[in-house]
Amino acid sequence: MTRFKPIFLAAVSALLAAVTVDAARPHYGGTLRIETTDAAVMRRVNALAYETLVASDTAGALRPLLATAWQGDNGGRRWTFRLRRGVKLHDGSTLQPPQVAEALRMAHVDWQITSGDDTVAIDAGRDAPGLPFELADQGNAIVVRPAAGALMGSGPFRVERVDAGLITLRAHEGYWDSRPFVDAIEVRTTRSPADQLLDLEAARADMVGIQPTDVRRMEQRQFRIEASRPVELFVLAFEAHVATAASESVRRTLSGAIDRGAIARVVLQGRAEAADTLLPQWLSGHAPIAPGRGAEPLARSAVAALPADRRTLGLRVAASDPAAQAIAQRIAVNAHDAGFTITVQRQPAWVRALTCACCASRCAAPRPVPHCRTSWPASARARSPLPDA
Amino acid sequence: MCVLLLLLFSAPAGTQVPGAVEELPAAIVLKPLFAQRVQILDVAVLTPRGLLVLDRAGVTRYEQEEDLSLGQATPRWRRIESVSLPARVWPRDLRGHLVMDRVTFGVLLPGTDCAAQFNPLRLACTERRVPWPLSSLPNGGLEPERNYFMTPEGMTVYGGSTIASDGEGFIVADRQGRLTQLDANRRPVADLGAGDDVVPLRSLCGAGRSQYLAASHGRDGDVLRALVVQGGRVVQAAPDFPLAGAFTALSSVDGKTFVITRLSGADRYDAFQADISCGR
Repeated sequence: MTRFKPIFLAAVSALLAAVTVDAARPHYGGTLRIETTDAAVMRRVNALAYETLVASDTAGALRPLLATAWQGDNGGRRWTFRLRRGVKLHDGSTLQPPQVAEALRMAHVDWQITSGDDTVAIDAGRDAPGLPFELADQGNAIVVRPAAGALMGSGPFRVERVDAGLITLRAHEGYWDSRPFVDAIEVRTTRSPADQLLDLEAARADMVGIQPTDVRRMEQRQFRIEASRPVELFVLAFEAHVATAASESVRRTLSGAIDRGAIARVVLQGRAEAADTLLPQWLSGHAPIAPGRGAEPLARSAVAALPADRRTLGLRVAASDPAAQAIAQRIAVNAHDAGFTITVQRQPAWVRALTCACCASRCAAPRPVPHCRTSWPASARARSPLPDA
Repeated sequence: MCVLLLLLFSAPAGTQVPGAVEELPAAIVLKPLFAQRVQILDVAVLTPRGLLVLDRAGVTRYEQEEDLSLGQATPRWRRIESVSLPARVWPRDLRGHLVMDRVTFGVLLPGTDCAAQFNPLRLACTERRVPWPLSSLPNGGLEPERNYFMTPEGMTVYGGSTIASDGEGFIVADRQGRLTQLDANRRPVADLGAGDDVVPLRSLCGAGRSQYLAASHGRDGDVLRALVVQGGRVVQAAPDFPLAGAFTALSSVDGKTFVITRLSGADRYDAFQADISCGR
């Protein structure tokens, strides 16, 4: 079972008290207080301090960032990037091409990287037509490591302080694309979803991440909701010892019993898309592929005739993911109608990493399981649009 | 005439400033001048049939092609000449102002002062802060990398106007989105309600009493409000005028008042000339 779910941010109107007041003209000053545990939002926070050479827009196209132009030759094996002039680092110094080259070498020891007066050339040592897309990934941000002192970037905010669970960013006055409106951003990363909502309502936070199951309630309370495009994919993954050829008919029966549309409409309150494939069409560019021929789904009577241990399944979901739990409960109901008995078991968050099929399917919002992320094609990672958080 | 009928629109008065007069014979009138996709910062009407447009890209001089035909709301303009703004990083909320002279003009931008001339259109810009002509409200020009001014007393304002008749002092729009009446020593004397900018408004109503046009952001959209000073008190001179878009700039150039709005859905900026219609 797959389900795409967008990332939601709820903002209190009082955000405007701190940041924009009740005014038509953009208001300089104030501190934006964000609470989130979502990895995709954290990537955006990271991008506020450390910029990449290029960026991908919401349509998946590249746009200039620290590089103003780029050109590949030799079949995409070698790429030359022309760097933007006059980019100021957070300490006020000007970003130099050798610093860009060094930052990229840190991330790609196998690349041959040279710098010119205002260019950086990359020889990937292989045909790499998608290299610019790869460089749009936040993992390739230009991070300057001075001999002493903190890491530096060129983004609109500099990292002022990192405490346990609290990151403080301060506006970069010399930002090449003009100084941001707010003076500072505070990001709390360890507050539970329930605490985030409490903080929002008590005006201790200006923006928090919420579950789709909370959207309607928050809208009724006059909070402003911003939603990304669907970026998170729910997958019902069978563990290896269960996913045998002999159990294929059981799995197909269970899959066919799940009412994806109802889950998207009711459980996720219309804030999700029923997914027929691992990647949505807008991301893959391909029409859904019809499932191949295999074992036929079982009739209810056939399910009833199965041994009890094959009709009874445990469905493990992360205890920290209320949306996944709600979906699991709905699956249990659907499965019951088909003759199965499913017990929903709440597990610690690390259960997500039980199978790579599970964690790798969370496109654009990967959980911190790097060994699984490596299963993604690089170009697919780079093209994954991030939410407009 | 048809155009006039379309534009002579007024709405019931919204929030009343203290002391609002009961009879409101006047109305705010907006005359469409120009529209484009690039953000318009300021406009100036040139005699006899010209228009100067300052936008994020540069300054362009237009001439009106023909008289308005029936049903045509906005004049048609023909581009004559244009010049780019100097290349530099501008603040995110860029503001600009045209200062007209008889044969030359100036362009004020954040931290930049440009002298300009026509035929051909040329700009000579110097990076320096100079006071903006906020109707004699003392200021040091836009604060660096910001969108507001600071008075000598340290008050930060988005705009202001000198009270020119029936009293003295100033009306300013402060950074909290409030209109405030100041006395001659620039001390606050009255809160006049919501407001994000204020400029003088030419008017022949009320025996030539000076009027002021303020713009404010409301829950139901942005509105324009005409103000007048009576016996030293600022009162509303006409019903609020709801704008179709969000206001982005108010300006007073060469005795005329202009309103710039943005239609977010259409990604379009409109420039209007604002006036007061008397005795409707």
